[in-house]
Amino acid sequence: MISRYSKVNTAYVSSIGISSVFQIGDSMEITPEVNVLAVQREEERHFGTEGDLSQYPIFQEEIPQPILYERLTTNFFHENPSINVNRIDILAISSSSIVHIGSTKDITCVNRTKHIRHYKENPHR
Amino acid sequence: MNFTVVNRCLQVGAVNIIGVSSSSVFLIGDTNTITLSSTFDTPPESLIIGAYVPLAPQ
Repeated sequence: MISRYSKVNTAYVSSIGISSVFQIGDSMEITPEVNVLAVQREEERHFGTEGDLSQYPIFQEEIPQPILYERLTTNFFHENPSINVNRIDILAISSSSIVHIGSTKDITCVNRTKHIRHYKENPHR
Repeated sequence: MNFTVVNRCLQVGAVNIIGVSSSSVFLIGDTNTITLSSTFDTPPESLIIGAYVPLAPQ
C-alpha cells in the first residue's frame, strides 16, 4: 500500500512517560514493552532492594496473539492522499503507548502491570 | 476476502486528548498491522494490610 501523507499544523504534548513514543514522520516498526510494579503505600516508603519481577507470574505468562488464517486481498485508492489535522492537544502519553504523525508498517505494544496496595492498618474497619 | 478502501478528503479541526496510556496508539497516518497487549493484575491478595516489609526482595 502506498501511504498517504499527514499534515498537522500544531501539536502540543505535555508529558511522555515510561516506554512511550511520540513520532513525527514515517517509521517501519515500533515495539515498546514495559513491566510495571505499581505499589501504593499509606505512607511514602521505598526499600531499595524491592521489585524482583521474576517472583510474579504476570511478567512471564504468555500473551495469546491473534492467528491470521484468512487470505486477504486489499485494494486502496487514494483520491485525496492527504490527512489534515489542524491542532492536537495531549496531556500525557504513558506505559508503552504511541502517538504517531505519519505512516508506519508494524506496531506491537506490550504492557504488564502488577498493582499492589499496602496499608499499615485496615482502613475499612 | 477482497477488501477495497477509497480514501477521499480527510480534514480534522482539533483533537483534544487527556491520556494515551497502557499499550495504546493514536495514529494520524496509515499502517499495516497493530498489535496491542495489556495485562493488569490486582487480585484480592494484592491488598496487603500489615507492617511494611520489602515486596519481592532481590
